[in-house]
This record gives sequence, C-alpha cells and structure tokens, in this order.
Amino acid sequence: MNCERIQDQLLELFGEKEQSEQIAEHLRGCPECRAFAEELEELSKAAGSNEDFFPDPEITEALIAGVEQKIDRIETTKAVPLHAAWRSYVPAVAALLVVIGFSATAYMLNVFSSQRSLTARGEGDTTVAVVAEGVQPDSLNAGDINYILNDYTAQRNGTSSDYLLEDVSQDELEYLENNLKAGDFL
Amino acid sequence: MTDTSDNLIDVLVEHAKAGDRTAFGKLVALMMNRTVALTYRMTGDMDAAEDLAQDTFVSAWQNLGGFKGAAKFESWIYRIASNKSLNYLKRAGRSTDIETVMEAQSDDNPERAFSQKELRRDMLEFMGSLPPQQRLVFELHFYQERTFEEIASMTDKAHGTVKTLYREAVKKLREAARVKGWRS
Repeated sequence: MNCERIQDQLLELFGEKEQSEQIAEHLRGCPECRAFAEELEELSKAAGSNEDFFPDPEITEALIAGVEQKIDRIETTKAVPLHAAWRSYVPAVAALLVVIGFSATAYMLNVFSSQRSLTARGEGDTTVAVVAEGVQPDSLNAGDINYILNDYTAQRNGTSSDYLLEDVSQDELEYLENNLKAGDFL
Repeated sequence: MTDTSDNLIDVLVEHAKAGDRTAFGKLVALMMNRTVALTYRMTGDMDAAEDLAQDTFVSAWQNLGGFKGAAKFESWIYRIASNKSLNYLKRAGRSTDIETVMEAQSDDNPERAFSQKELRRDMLEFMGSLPPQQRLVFELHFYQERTFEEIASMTDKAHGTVKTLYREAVKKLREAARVKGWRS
C-alpha cells in the first residue's frame, strides 16, 4: 500500500486507539508515514475529549431542572381547567358544527373520497395541513406525522431525515402547504 | 456508553414512552452533559448551546412516540441536537473561514502547551472555522464516538461522503495546529 493511501487511512483513524496490522507494518518501515502518524496522535491528545467541554455540575443541574419545568409547562397547557375548557370549547363546537355541515355536503358530492386531512403545528404556531389518501387519523400520532414530514422535507433538501416538525422553517411549511397532495406519503 | 448503561437506557426509554416522567428525567440527567458539549462545539456559544440542549430534550419528550428504537436512543438525541444546532447556524448565518480565524487569533508564542481553557477556546475556534456539515461529522465521530455507519444513517449521507468530510476536517485541524503551534 502506498504512503498516500496509508495517510488517508490514518486521517480516517484520527482519534481511534487501534490501527490495523497492515498499517502498523507500513509504519515500521516508513519514517515519513510514522512521523505523520505521530503528529496525528499528538494532535488527537491536544484536541481533548468530550468531557473537557462539559458544563460545571451546577449548570448541568440547572439545565436538567429547566427541562423539567419546560415539560411541566407543556403538560399544564394540555390540562386546561374544566371551566376554562368549557369556554374554549364554544368556538370549537361552533367551528365543528360548520365543519360537520360542510363535510356532510362534501361527502354527498363525493369531494373528499377517501382522503384524510391532519393538521400539525409548526414553528411559531403556524399550521400545516397534511392530506393523505386513506390515512386513518386514529392510526397516526404526532410523532408519526413528524416522521412523515421529516422524510418528506429531507428528501427534498437532501438533509437529515430526522427533521422534527418544529424545526421546519416558515418557507418549508409554506412549501409543504402548497405542494402536498393526496398520496404523497403512501 | 457501556453495555450496562445501554441496557439501562433501553429500560428507561421503554418507561418514558409509557409516559413515565421520572424515567425520562433520568435519561435527561444521563445525557445532558454530552448534549450540551455537542451543541456548544457546534455553535461556539454557551448560552445558545444550553438553550438548544434543553430544547432537544423537550422535543424528544414530545416525539418519543416516534422513536422506533431502530437506532440507539443516544444517537436519536444527538440527531435532534445536531438538527437544532444546524438550524441555529443557518438562522444566525454563523460560519467563518479558517484563515480569518487563524489570522485573528495568531499569537506570539507558537510552541505552547495547552491548558484546559486554551484547549476549549482553540478547539471552539477551530470548530467554528469548519463548514457546518464537516463540523457535525467531526463532532459526532471524534467527540461523540459515533461510527461512520451511524453518522451516515443519522445525517442521510453516503458512508464514503462521511469519511471524506472527516478526513477533510482532520486535515484542516492539522493545518490549524501548525499555524498555531499546538501540542498536547
């Protein structure tokens, strides 16, 4: 194996404790590559470890407590007191009646066919309607919807497929709203 | 992570998915330091890093139902933290080129040993000089000890692309070290 390939492999092995016998054998007979390997080893030590960047223990404690509080707030928002819930239901019930009336008419006209529409919340309380043919709302939870959207946006962007919905930018939400069609997720 | 802590994490994840907040709290406690370290090296800003790390766990709680267990839980957390960090960088438009950093930070004592503080500062400067995707691959492989296969899966990149990004990052680290005269 030539020196260029060995040095490429050494770059890939940067930070690893072990190397193959093939590389070790080459290093024994090649001062140039041996110097290269030693330089990288020295550099690896100089770059430190994960622990060198950990916050102070009291900061860690505060951050953990902060996560608890943030989740508490989210859970509390979900659990609305009964009297407040009734008040908040008034517009919802009114809207529901309108939707039922519209849906019944649309059903009669066979407009919706087997499509299902799901609405997911995005960044800044924007919403995106996810329309997919044959999807049963009960069979999908928020996590599943996120994953579907993640994959969709990832394919478009060539980026990670674990793109959480709340990370989707306004532009992407608009794109989704404008471009999603029945069957996109099937 | 050891096998024992992997098993512990698996058990905690199962409980957390069933709605057990205490179990999720233990997961947060186990992984907070490493997550903050990741977001810190990715952003170079401790305030932002702390916010991003907290948001990572809040998102994880909200999306636990979507975690299918195909990847390790910690990889899933790093993936969320990575995406949040990349989005932060995109929004903040934070990217500097290595020459600018090296010129600005060049000092008069090239042959100097690293103190802990200097190490953190200089590595953060170096990380900040890398393009975001290269920075992420270096972060996940060197500091978080994820395999190239895992990183390829986490970032939806080809295995070879991940290796190339890592090699390029190490070359730049070598160049930076020569400019600044680092030694351990």
